[in-house]
Amino acid sequence: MKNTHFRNIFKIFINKKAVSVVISTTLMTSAVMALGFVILFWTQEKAFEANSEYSENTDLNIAKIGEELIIEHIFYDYNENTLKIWLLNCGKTNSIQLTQILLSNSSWSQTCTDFELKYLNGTSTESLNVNEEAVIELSVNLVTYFVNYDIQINTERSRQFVSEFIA
Amino acid sequence: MQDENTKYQNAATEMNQISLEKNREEFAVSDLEYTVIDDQVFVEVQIKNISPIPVQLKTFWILDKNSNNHAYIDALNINMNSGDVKYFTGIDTLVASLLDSDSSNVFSSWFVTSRGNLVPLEKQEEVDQTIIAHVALGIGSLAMDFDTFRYYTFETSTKLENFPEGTHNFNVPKNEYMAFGFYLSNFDLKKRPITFDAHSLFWQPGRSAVSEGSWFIVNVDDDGNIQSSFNPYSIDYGERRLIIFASKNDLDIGSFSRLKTGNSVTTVATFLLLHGTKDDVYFAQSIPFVSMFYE
Repeated sequence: MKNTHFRNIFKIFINKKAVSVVISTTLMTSAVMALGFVILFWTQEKAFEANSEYSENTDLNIAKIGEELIIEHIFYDYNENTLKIWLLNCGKTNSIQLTQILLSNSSWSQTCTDFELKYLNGTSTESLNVNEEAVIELSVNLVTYFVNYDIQINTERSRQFVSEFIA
Repeated sequence: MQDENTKYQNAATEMNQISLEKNREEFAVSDLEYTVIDDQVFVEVQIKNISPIPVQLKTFWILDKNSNNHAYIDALNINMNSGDVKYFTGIDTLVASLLDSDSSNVFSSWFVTSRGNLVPLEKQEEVDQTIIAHVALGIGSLAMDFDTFRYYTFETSTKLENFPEGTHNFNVPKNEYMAFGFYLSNFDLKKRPITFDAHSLFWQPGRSAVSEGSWFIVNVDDDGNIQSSFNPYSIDYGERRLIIFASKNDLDIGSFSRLKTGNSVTTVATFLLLHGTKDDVYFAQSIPFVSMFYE
């Protein structure tokens, strides 16, 4: 009787087939769940990143459409070969940075990237805030006088402001 | 996502609104005067905000077109509500330093508003468009106003009846002692005053002799009395003045006497032959004038 009891218990331990199914099922379930969590966290992370990027792009676009520059006056000094451009930030966006100024007429063009932005009191500035005025001085040689020139001002946020003048 | 989209839409709407408001800014500029003293240009002007929104004048610019020098006055920051009038006179006169400037130079000036509008200051001449249409551009400097044509009969041998009103009609009694009047305006492009001398006349060609068809310019007192001699007088630029032609003779050469209209029932052409000086140079202009019907 006692031997039979031990034999039954022993059988439980040596019945590998039945135990293997349980363990494998448990292991697989755990693995799937773990993978599921990894995917979930990864997806959440990606969604958050996408959301942040979208938000940043939206803010950038809002800042971009809020940029507004007008040219108050343009003066070309024939003796010094310098072109002065007075600007006003009349938009809603602060920190307008200028990257390029393109000058052209029907037969000539010049791109200026090396220039200094100065407030009207002469202080240098990197950018222009709302309601601020500044002047740019460019070294250019406008060989043809009394003709129309086009001017295009490009900003860091990829806005373009176009005007024309007679020199 | 929805919030970002809404945020962008709101920003776009706001910029559209700003653009709309910018386009609504409008001003009436008057009484513009430039005075130069020792390279200081004094700009007196009256400006009215006739737009329905408040505006801010931010910067004032002035350009001397002769010397090409320019100057600006920044940080004005003058706020004007709708309908507000700002007088830049007296202590508020705008003063800018411009080297080599002179009162005879041509100036251009403008305000910059905080919304980015450039408001040019231009002299607004009180010019009747009808009169402008009558200016013989490129031919002369004087314009006449057809509607002001009137004729006068005589109360006495030297006094006009119903002066200065006269009778506004192009149908004129024949064979009567008559004088004629109308308004002339000076639109000289260089804005010089024009002075008439005694050789200016109102001429009706086709009569037997020139002396029979010419009414010379006269001076008339307020009560209608015609002066026996002619004292030259001027019309300043933009000014409009009633001119009277009543004498058979040039008063520099002969004495005043009246002249009758023709004795035929007919339509006649008339011309204005004007003579004098513009500043210190001689001036002459012939203006094809009205046709009259003698009845």
